[in-house]
Amino acid sequence: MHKVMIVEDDLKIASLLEQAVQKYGYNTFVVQQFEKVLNDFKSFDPHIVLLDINLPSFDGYYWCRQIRQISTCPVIFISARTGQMDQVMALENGADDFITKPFHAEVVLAKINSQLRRAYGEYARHQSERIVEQAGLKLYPERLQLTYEDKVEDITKNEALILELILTRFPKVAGRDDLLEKIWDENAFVDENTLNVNITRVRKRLKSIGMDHAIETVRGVGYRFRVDE
Amino acid sequence: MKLFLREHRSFIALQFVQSVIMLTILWFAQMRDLNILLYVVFVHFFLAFIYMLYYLVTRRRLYLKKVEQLEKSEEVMSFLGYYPLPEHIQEMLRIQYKKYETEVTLLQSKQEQYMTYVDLWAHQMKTPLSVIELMAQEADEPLSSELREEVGRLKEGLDMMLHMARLRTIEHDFSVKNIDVKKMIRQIIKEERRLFIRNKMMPELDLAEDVRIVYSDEKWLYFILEQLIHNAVKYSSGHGKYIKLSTFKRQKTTVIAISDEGVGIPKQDQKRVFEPFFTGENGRKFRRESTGVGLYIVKEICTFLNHEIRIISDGSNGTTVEIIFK
Repeated sequence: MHKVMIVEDDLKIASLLEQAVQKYGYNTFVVQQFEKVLNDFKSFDPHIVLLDINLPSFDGYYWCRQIRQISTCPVIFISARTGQMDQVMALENGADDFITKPFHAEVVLAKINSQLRRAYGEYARHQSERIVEQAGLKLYPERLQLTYEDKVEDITKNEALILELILTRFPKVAGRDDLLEKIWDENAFVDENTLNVNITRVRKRLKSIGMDHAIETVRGVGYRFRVDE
Repeated sequence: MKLFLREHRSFIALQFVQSVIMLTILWFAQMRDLNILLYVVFVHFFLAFIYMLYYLVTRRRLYLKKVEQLEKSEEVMSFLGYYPLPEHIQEMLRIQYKKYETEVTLLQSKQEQYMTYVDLWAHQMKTPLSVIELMAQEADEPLSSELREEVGRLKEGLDMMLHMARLRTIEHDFSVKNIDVKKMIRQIIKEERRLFIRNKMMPELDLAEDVRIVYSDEKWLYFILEQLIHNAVKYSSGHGKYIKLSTFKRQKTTVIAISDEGVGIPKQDQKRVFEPFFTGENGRKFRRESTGVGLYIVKEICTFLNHEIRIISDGSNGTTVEIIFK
């Protein structure tokens, strides 16, 4: 399991980031003492570091340089500074990527995943292939497969995207706009109908592996996964 | 010269009065030789003339200065001559100039402080916004979407503020290069997909094959297009479904056009939409937190980058905005 170290002095953000990262099954460590970031780094030995630029005592650039002297592990900067110079500085000081606030949790996770893949190879990724599971239904978003009990069903990219969101949102409702955003395509822009069609298809897939009525419609709001007791 | 004569009107009049008095006195003193009388008058006027000439020459810097041509404050301060009056005037000007200069410097530094604060504040607000955004993602629908919509508005406002602040220093903050417009337009649409989805709108692309590169600043052009797309969506939500983005060549220029099927811009407002803080009829009617700043910034950037911006609207059915690259 990969370890993620979070260096962020805003406690709210740090804890929200922690939650988001833990959801994806990573181990996390949130730095509390900003004078001893390097000690924490040595003892926790993370696979990847999320680093804010503005920190008490030394800034993120400094810590990045310190980390670089002992490790090549990926470092992603998270900062409110959007200037080109700040990004250049970050990269010059040894960072691998840069995310500007305010950010979307998904962007952070996508970047973490991509850095981990790059740094630790496909092997590591294979070891920890993502599985979204809910009530015995397993979705493999990377190989586009769905399993329930002993039945297997191949699905399309869009279906996987929709189902992933609905499953991860459970027991909450997945919003229509969020679903549309997920399947938005650069070449063919989607509208309500595209979503309706895709939802119908997902329902068919689920039905064919024995999960009928697993997705319920919440009118005007979105869709929710339903687990029968 | 006129000034000099005007100022010496009374002096000249005095000379005449004096001559008359002198002649009268001499006349009554039985001095009736016409030649001598004329000679006295001549000497009198001659001396007066010499005096005035001397006065004019020595104070020429004061009298012959062409006030209309003065432009810079330093020109006003230029040397007037070493005579009591010019020195006195010069001293007054110098004191006044110094006073104003201190005042201006003070105001400038205050303004500078204020701008720094605005910039800092806008950046600091991004952290709480991130927190709200992340928390909103955890909430159930429809609350989650509604919260994020509001966060989006705040984000947009902050972004506008930062650009407004940055506009002041645009001359140090741009780099013109070749930009792939197609790529940029696609990127903006992808970034702004939430805006389209939320307003139930669809982008429609009509990008000509022969248009690929424009010469502009990437960051500012991105802001311009983003702003225009935002406006197009805001003012056509509920009226039309499509926002058409097209690029094409016209004569020797390249054009990016953004058309909507929205409420249009009334004729009387069209000339004024680029004025700062002008919100117009629609801005007020639709109450879409129009600040009247967006198009002002867009126009300023266009002027700076030497792009032409044109608004075409019949006042009710849709608006087309064209950016023309020469």
